[in-house]
Amino acid sequence: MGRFVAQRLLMLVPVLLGVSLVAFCIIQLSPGDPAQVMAGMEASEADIEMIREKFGLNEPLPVQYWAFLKGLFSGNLVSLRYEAPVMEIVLPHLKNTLILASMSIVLAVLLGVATGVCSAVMRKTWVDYLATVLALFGVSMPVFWWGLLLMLLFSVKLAWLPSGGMGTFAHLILPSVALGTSSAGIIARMTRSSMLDVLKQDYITTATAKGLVRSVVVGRHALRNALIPTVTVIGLQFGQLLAGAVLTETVFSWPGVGRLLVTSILSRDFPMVQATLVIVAALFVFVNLAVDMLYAVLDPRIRYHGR
Amino acid sequence: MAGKPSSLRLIFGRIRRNPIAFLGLLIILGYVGMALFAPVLAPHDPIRQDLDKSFAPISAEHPLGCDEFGRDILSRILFGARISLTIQVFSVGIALFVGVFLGAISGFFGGWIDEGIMRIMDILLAFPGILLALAIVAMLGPDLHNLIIAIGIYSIPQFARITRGSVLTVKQNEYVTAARAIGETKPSVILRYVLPNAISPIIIQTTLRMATVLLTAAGLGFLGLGVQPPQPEWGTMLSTARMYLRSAPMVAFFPGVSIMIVVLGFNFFGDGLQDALNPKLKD
Amino acid sequence: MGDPILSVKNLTVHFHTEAGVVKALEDVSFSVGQGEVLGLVGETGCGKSVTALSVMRLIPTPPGRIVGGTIHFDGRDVLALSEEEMRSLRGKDMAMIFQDPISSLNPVFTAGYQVEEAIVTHEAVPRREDLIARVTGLFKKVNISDPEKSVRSYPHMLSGGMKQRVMIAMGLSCSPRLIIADEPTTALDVSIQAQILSLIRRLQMEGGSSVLLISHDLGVIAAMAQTVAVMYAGSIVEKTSVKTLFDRPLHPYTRGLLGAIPRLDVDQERLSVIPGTLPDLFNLPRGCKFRERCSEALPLCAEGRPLLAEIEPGHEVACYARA
Repeated sequence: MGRFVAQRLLMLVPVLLGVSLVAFCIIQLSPGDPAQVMAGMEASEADIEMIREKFGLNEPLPVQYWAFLKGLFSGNLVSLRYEAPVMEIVLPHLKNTLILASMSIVLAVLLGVATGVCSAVMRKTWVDYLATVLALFGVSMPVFWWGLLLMLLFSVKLAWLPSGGMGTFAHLILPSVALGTSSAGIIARMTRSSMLDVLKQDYITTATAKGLVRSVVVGRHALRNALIPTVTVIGLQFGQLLAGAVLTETVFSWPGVGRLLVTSILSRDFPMVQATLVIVAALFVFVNLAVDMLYAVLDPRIRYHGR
Repeated sequence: MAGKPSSLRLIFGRIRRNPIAFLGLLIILGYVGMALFAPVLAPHDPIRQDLDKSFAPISAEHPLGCDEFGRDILSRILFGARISLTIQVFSVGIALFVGVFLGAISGFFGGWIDEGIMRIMDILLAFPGILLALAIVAMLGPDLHNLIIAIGIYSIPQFARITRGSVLTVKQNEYVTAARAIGETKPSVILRYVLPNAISPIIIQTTLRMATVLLTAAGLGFLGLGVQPPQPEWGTMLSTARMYLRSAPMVAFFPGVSIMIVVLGFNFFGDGLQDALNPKLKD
Repeated sequence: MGDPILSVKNLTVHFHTEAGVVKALEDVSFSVGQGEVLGLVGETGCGKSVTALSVMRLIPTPPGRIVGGTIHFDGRDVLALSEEEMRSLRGKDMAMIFQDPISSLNPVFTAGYQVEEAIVTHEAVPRREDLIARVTGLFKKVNISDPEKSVRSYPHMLSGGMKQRVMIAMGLSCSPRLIIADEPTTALDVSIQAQILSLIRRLQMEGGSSVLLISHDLGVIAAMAQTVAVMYAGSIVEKTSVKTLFDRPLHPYTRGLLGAIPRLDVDQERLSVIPGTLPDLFNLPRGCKFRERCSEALPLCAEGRPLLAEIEPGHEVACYARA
């Protein structure tokens, strides 16, 4: 198991380097002189030259990339807007996003797995059709619009919950429901199809032939196996939640990394944009690694082959 | 494996018998019709402002009312369909073309070519969801072209992975080996034998991707980084309407519903297609 | 032998699929006496497994449905039992050993746990040590190598033969009165087959259980069963003792089957093969189902379906040419 983890960690290195390279290169995409773009259209020639100097933009690209990498961790990479090392700004925002995303994924898993199992067990009944339609609605709902609807109903009309900001647990409810809905739909669909697949397996017949009650056959024998592919989807969904946070946080003024990214883009705080991209992508990569580990825990076949 | 003309009828039959998938197909057809005939269907100019009619309520003249600048919302929704469809078709087109090409090469040749292409795809996939498109469009500048490029790029890995997977499966089949044994060159083998067999997962992915792409484009519009006003893109419309949510919620309601219904249409249809093309799930 | 432990009468099972109705079983009747081994033989797809699953009421519904007939187990009407009553019968009084041990064990639970589960479902075993000791004992009894370790092994760590022994241990765990063995050796290597068969035979004699043995292999049936029923396209066409069947097969299909076995004791130029294939179960022809492949078909055979009739004492055949 230890070697398995080490192997996976090693495989991450090129991906993480690639991610940082993409984040670094993205600024090169901007038409014209990056220093001009950073400084803004009204900037004087002297301002632009200062920026060029400050960010080493006169250096060859590989040198710039190396400086970027170093700056990311050493604190030399400084936000234009906050005038502080990017990491000092990104990490607290990241914590807030993680709170939101974790709450959302918990909601999505509970709701999604339960719906998917019911759907599969009651296949081709009205329960299944209703669950399918609801799940597809969840997947199809634009998160920003769904957020606005929830806000309109629960904070504007009913005044039950705050419409934005962060503070109490009540602040967390609407954003996490808005954000988790689409993942719940996807998890429900995945659970349903893997459950249907598993319910047809011979070992399910064996379990029934032993005289086990249906709830044990479904809840223990089938679910344990059906969850194996579902776990992968849950991992991917966590990434989708990080991305969806960009929109949800904007709707609910949640001080997370997604909103930070958007405001940084709009205020042309490029070091901040780069740092945010690297951090979120790295987090997503590590979450996927964690999912692979969980996969091994759930599936003894992988656990023992990994040794 | 689907894709043979003889089984098309069977697949269509399955979709027709699946009410959800059929509804999806109808929604898609209606949406495409809206986009194509927007100039004929729209009662007003979608761009022209008339401040006297600011937030005009629903009436015979303005079936969905007017927005803050007194523009007819129905007309804007209809023309918005054109913009969405354009983004969907071109960005998914780019992703399909590049992704299938890379995936096919990767799967067929294997070795370091495969290794290299797939690592690049991993890197692209490390930026979840809207993030990569957001970054690209932020740098290139928000307009229709750049939006299409950004969304196209971020959809490439999905197609590459699916195609590679299908190619690897099909490559094991004996008729491919046989075709190579009788001396057909590699690219012609890919075109003639492998791709037609990889087609059904690609079709499913294309349909579902249409839904995701629309959501992404609208999301970027909502953030102010999509198609710029006064163009009537649905997400952009929502983004401005949001400011009047308390006083005039209906202005935000219609673009939101439009996005949801169209996305739902593609998801319904894609889901039904998945069932119809994978008879394995049917008893 | 007293009353039969299992008695199946006129069992008819249909499967409703997208392509139409499959008549999987039609008027199947047989009984298994106390301590008897009944062999059910036939080609793949003839309805043997459906018969076995019907007795346990494990037919997947939908698409399958028992549309007629009765099944009595130990005098109780199986088809009239509640799901709860049925559940307490399964695994306790009637147990099943499946064809493919690889897919029949749940990959995410240990072998020992899966056997434990069969026990605790039906009996209260208060102490965990007792339970483990009992499972280890069962593993010893079915000759599983290193039982203490195997109990803690996951299925993928065991060989096919060992897995089938686990399945047998599971089946025997509550000393059932009827064991249904559905092609218990088909998926195994030839060398393992003989071991598993002699194991089942030994355990059956020790425990006095009755066995419904299902196989496509007449050799297996000859080695194990006292009575044999030959099945063709969802119906039983001949039923008699094993000895009679091999000495004096009457139904043309049985004769064909026996002719298809290579024999070392007789010089054979070549194996005889039954011409044609199984009829389409979606669309059965009128008259005898075997008619189109039969060399002895009479005009009458196209009219009606021959029923099983006792042609000589203890020998039932469904054939107009023998009546």
